[in-house]
Amino acid sequence: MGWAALTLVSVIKVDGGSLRVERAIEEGRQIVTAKMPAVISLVKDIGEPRYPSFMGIRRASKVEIPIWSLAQIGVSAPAAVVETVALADAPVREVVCEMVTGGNPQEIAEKLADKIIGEKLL
Amino acid sequence: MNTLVYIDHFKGEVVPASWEAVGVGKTLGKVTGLAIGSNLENLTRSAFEYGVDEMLVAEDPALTDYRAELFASTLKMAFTSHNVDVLLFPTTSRGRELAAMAAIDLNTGLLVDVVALEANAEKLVVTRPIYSGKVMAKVTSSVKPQIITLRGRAFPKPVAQPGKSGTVTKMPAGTGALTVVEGYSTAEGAASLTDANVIVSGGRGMAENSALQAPAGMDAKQSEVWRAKAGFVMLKELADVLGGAVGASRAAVDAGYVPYAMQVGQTGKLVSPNVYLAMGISGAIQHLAGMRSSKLIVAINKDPDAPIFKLARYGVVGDLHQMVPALTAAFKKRLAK
Repeated sequence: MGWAALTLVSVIKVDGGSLRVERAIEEGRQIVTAKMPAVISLVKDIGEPRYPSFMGIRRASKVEIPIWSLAQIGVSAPAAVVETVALADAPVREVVCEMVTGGNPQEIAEKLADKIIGEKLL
Repeated sequence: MNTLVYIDHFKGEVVPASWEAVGVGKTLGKVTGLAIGSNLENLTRSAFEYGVDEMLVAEDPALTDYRAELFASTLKMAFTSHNVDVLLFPTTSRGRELAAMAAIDLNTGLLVDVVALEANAEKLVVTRPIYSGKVMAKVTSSVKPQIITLRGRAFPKPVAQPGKSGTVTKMPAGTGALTVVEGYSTAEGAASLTDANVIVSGGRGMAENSALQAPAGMDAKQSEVWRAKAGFVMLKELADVLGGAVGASRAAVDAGYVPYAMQVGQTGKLVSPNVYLAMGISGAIQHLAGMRSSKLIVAINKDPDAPIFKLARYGVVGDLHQMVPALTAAFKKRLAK
C-alpha cells in the first residue's frame, strides 16, 4: 500500500498526522517517526489488556459471528509454495537431574560451581 | 547452489548468527554476502575472513540506520541483479522483517527459525521447531529462491581465516524512505540474549526474599517489585562474573519486575546458550520453549517438583537468595586469574 511499516512497537505517540514510536530491537529501543497512515505491529510492552466488563462478557456471548467463504468475499487462495514433508517428535533430552545437596548454601555453591566448570562449557 | 546471505549488524557490529549463516551457505556452494549500512569496511573485511566469496555492499549515509522500506528495496536490487538459489537471514528483528519483505517481493514462501537443513535434489529441506519445540517439522518451499531465516547458535560459526579477501561490488541505496530514525535508547541493558554464551534467568521467585525490607510507604505490589528488582541486580552480578546476560521468565515480566526485552520463552527470546542458569523459574512450557536447546541447564528452585528439574543437568532445591550470592562468590574464586 506504500505505507510505512513499523514493527515490534512498544510505545506510540501521535502528533497531528505523524507517529513517533519506539521499536523493541535486540540492542534496545529504536525511536522512529513516520507519517500516517502506517502499519504497526506491537510487542507486549505496549500495555495490559483491560479486563472485559460483566456486561461486555454477556453481550459477547450472544453475538453471532458470521463465517464467510473465500468465494463470498471474492478472493481465491493462492497455491501454497511451502510444504510440510515430515513431522517428528523433538529429540528427547537424555538428562537425569543430579541434585546437589549437603551443607550450607556456601558449600552447595562450591560443589555446584565445580560441577558447572567441569562441564567445560563456560 | 548460489547463496545470498544478509549480514545483519547494528552500527557495524555484526550479529554472530550472520557468520553462522555464511557457514551454512558454504556447505551449499558459492556465498555472496550482502551488507547494507554505512562505514562497512571492517564488516566487509570480516565477511571475507568468515568465508564469503563475494560481497555486495550498499554504503550510503541514508542507510546508517536500519529502516525496513529502504533496506528491503536495497535487498530487492541485490537478488534481482544476481542469480540466487537460496536467501539466508539470521533470525533477528531485522532479518525476519527483511526475509518477509523479500518473500512478498518474490511472491514466494518463507521458512523461518530453521535449526537444521539438508540439500535434496537442488532443493533445501529444512527443520524447524513448532508447537513450542515439542515437534520438529521438515518443510520445503517449491519456488526459487528459497528464503530461510536461521535460528542463532543452531549452526556452528565458521573459523575466521585472517587476511582472506575477495571481490566487492558496490550497490546503490534503495529509495522510497517513509520513516525517520530519531535515535536509540539502550536503557534496558539487555545484552543481546540470543548471542549470549551464558544466561542467568530469574522468575517469579526473585521477589520471594523475606530478608529484604522494602522502603516504607510502598504498598504490597510495589514492595514485591522492589524486592524482585534487587534480586535481578544479584543475578546481574552472577552473570557478570560468568560473562553472560540476564534473562527472565514470562511470569517475572508480567509481574513488572523486568522489561519484556529480557523475556525468554515462546513469546520472548529463543535462546540456546552453552549454560543456562534458571533461578526461581518453575519451568512452564512457554518458558521451556525458549531455552530447551541450551547445552547445560542448571536450576535452583525451592519446589523440588518444579518441572524445570526435568530438563536440568544439575539442580539445587533451596533459597536462591542465599544460593546466588554464594554461587557468585564461588565462581569469582575459581574464574579469577
